[in-house]
Amino acid sequence: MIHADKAGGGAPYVLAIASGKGGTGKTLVATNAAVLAAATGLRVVLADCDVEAPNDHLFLRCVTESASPVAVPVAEVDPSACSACGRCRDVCAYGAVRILGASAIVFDELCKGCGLCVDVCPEHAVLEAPRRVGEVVSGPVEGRPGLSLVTGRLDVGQVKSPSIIRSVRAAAAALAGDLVVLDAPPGVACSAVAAVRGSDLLLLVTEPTVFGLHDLELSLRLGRDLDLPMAVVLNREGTGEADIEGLCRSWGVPIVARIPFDRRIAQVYARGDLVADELPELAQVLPELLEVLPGISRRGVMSL
Amino acid sequence: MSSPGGTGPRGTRSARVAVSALGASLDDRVDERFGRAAFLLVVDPETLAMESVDNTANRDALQGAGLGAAETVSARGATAVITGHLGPKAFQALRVAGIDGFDGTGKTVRQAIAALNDGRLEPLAEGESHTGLT
Repeated sequence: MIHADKAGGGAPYVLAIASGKGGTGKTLVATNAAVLAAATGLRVVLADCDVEAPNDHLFLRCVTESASPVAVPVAEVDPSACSACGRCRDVCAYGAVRILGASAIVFDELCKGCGLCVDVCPEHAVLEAPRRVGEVVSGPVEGRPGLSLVTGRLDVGQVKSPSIIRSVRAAAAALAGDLVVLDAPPGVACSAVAAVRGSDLLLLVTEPTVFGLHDLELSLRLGRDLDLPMAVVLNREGTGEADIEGLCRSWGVPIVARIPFDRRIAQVYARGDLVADELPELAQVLPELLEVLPGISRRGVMSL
Repeated sequence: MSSPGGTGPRGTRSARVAVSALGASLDDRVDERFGRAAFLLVVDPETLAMESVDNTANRDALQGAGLGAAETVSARGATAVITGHLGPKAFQALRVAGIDGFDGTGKTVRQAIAALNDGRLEPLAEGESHTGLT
């Protein structure tokens, strides 16, 4: 893996925090890692890519500087120009276009905005129009110099989360920090792919339960398919018997941090506070974690 | 397309009723599913002349089964649909096509057609999505 250019002050280092199973501690790790990294003098952008249920803002008060709507193109048919020839229906890979009565009709939620129907229409009756699906909100975090938060939010009733996630990542990159921490949505479906694709390190948070083990393997397979360097955070160590270490060993993926199963962490988290502030002795695992990011640790030393 | 119940060019043919069915005959039962029905039978309610359409392609679709079934029956000139349940997308598609939905739960195709002829079938309202996720 080549990280040399990352240390040279070019594009920010992108740390994606993900997990196959929900509720393993992605947000816990992402918020605390971002705060601790910013405290070392790095310019950090925390990007909440869990756009169906963003929650990083509950732990960090963000001063909203910009709120931008996210729109995706959706095909529209002019029924007065449509000859109902069916070519648009035949090329649509998603079954979003149907001939009903004397005209083609597009069903918005199935349309992926690929534009193929626009191209094949001999009557020029199909156009694309932007349709709002959500928004991206960003700004500096109060009381945390060097830390900004970018939050993506999918509108209620919408399903196209990847388009918002891509907008979140673009907004985070535009803030030109040293480090972007991506808080990914759970699972290994298209929204998780959109959140972690092309990152510098995929940090998988898991727990030693059967579900945690099973879904960690799914995540490892996703990371392998996307050709990403990977590392694992074992959260709630001591709460179950599943052999996370054995799985990580067989995959050759290091466990870079262990967070104990400790009631105080749950209490701090439930109050909306940060372990980094309230339980600094436990949060020590996270600066150690940052050491695994070659570009970051080098630059961190440089900036101190 | 063969049109066993058709009597003339578009616009002048007689009414046709599309029925979702568990089999390909008039004595098979109404399939409560529309998009994922086994068969779609397009029936002339006066003569009972019928075209049966194997709905396998729609049934196995990952999503949009109801839309595909709506397109199938619209293309065959149906003006009414008898089934057990219409999801939101199928309901919308049938409305665009000017096709009314009726509840034929528990009946054979033949019984359902007779009941529709007598005005004894309840109109269907828009139902819940079967998939939950798209």
